[in-house]
Amino acid sequence: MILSNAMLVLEALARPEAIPVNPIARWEWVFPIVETLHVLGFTLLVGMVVVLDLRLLGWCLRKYPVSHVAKSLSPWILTGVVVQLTTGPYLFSGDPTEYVQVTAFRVKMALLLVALIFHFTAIRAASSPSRDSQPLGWRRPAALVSIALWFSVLLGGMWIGNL
Amino acid sequence: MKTLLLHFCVWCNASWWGVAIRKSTWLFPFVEIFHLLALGVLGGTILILNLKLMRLAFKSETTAELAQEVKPWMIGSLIVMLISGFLLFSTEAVKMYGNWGFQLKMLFLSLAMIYTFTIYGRVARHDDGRFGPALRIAVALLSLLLWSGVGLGGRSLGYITTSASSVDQQ
Repeated sequence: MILSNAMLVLEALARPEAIPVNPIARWEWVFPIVETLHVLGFTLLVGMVVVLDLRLLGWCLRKYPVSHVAKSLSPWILTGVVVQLTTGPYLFSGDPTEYVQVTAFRVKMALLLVALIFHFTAIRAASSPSRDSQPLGWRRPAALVSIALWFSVLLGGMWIGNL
Repeated sequence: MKTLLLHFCVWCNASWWGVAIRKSTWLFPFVEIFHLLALGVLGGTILILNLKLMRLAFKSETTAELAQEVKPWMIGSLIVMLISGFLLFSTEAVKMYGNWGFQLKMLFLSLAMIYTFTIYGRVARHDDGRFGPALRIAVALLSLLLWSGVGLGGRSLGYITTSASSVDQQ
């Protein structure tokens, strides 16, 4: 990707009148590939978050302390977030003026922001080792909120896709 | 065989559930949400088992323990997906008959299910050090490949137009 972007820059300098908006505008197969990565990244992110939330609800993996499950899952959740935050803007850059005007997109972005903030505050606090011996309490509704938020992001994405 | 399949699709298309969901404005998204929720759970359970087989996560528990913990969720979510999937399929069964993306998805789904409940299950339950890394990783990657095939086949549905809409939709 770095190499192809470097090539584009050199080409642009050589022929400024032929500057493409970005690679997505030039080759029609880039979009499906990046979109596929976006879907796979989403599966990873939501899959791992759902398992963590199921543990916070006390419904799955009960043999293991919450912080232990969280520790195993968090590098993968983070990987999912990184993949999404890379592929997402790449897809967005294909038609920024259009996307920005679409309600579904704005809703999705707002929900994404809330989901991310909620995850790295409430869920992170809920997975802290200091809470392992405590009853689940508030962590159970928090897990439900987490699932609801991430699925709303997914639905927002599908809504955009169906337009 | 092909006409049998087509007859089945026509029958699903005309079924009371197919008609009801097709006619309603909200039923399709409603069923779809269950399909996706179950997908999230199924994806999560399969991912963590595969990560464990590849020794990339859950370092201190055995694969057999992990498998036992997630099995009810895996089976439950799969059942929800099969039922909701069938309901959604029934709304445009004849279109799906001609859609090769859908056919690929069903092929991958059959292979993935058979694989998961035979070879894969056996390896997961007996992963006590007797399998070398090459085998474990291969088993995990095949699982990821097959299940990804289902998902991506599903995604490709929308990009494929078919001419198999010769039967009237009610």
